[in-house]
Amino acid sequence: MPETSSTLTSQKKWVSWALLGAVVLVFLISLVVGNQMAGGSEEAFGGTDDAATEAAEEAGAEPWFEPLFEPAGEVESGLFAIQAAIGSGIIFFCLGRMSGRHAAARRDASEDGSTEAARVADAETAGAQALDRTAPTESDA
Amino acid sequence: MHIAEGVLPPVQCAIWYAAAAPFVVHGAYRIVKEVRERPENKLLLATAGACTFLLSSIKLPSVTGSSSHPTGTGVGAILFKPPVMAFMGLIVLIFQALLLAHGGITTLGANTFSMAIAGPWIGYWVYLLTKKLHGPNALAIFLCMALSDLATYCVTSLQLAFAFPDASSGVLGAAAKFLGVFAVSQIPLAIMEGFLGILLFRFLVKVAAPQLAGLGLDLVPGGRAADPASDATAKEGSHA
Repeated sequence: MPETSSTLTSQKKWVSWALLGAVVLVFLISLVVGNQMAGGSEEAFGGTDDAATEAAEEAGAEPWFEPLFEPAGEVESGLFAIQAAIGSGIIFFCLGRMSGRHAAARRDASEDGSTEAARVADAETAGAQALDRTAPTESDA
Repeated sequence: MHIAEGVLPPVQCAIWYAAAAPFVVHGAYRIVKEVRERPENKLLLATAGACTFLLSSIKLPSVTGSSSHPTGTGVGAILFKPPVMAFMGLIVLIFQALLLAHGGITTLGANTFSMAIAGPWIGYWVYLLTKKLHGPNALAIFLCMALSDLATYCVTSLQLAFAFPDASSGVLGAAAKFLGVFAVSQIPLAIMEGFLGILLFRFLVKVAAPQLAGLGLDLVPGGRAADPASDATAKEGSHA
């Protein structure tokens, strides 16, 4: 239990790599097993949304409204890519900005020793140092 | 989970619109309030919205030989509580309905209900339950992400089953049929989303610990005890 409960805060590099590896692994298993399930046919990896629509139409659904705008296949993939690009652009802009602010706050704190933030940062670094060094040091005093 | 344009009968479209509307209005109100009260959380709010925008645009292959979308609504559900996701999810679904002919304007109410309301709430309840049972944070996040994804597709299956009950086996038979299309395919995607969620939160805990504490999330050990201090740093951060 303690091992898993620190998964979130442990800054060990391998944890992130292991998580990323797990994502890729599930993706690859899905790709290989899915390909076999589909029998390598051209219809492999059809969307579940389309399958559900077909099933609904078999059960008597009669579409009574057409999409206002339906992009052609090639354009559609581009629009999906744009959606993904906008999404990841925003995510990584925000993550980068938060990361930069965090770094700046720590730097400011270490330069200007009087603020509350500095004390917090000092405590953090002191804690980290205490963890790093097994033997207590007097050199700081 | 996108029910295609015009597939649901008009009356059911109206019912799902009516069911989703209060959640969406409440969500919009919560977002405005959040931005006014805690402007330092704007970046986190944008991240939560963009996660749904990004993940729901990607079609991933599944073990069943079909492909499907993740939903990405769990991030916002944990960070800002589920109501916020009702509004964010609606924006994503409108974008897809109008530009991509994915989902539809008539089925927008039903799709919003499954992806932006039911999914985030179920994920969030499981998150709270895991925390209550003193489960590890990473597990709580994993389950919230995975189940908000999976639950979305289960709700869609039920929506379709209510609309098109099987001639012989009724609503239950139809539910089993639609779950057969959606649920199994979604399991590997839900697992991937769970791992991605832990990755994202690991990063957030590192760079945005004060904001997370300000939102009342006790993801950082000792976060409760350090509350006054982290509030102070949060204020410093908002001035910077």
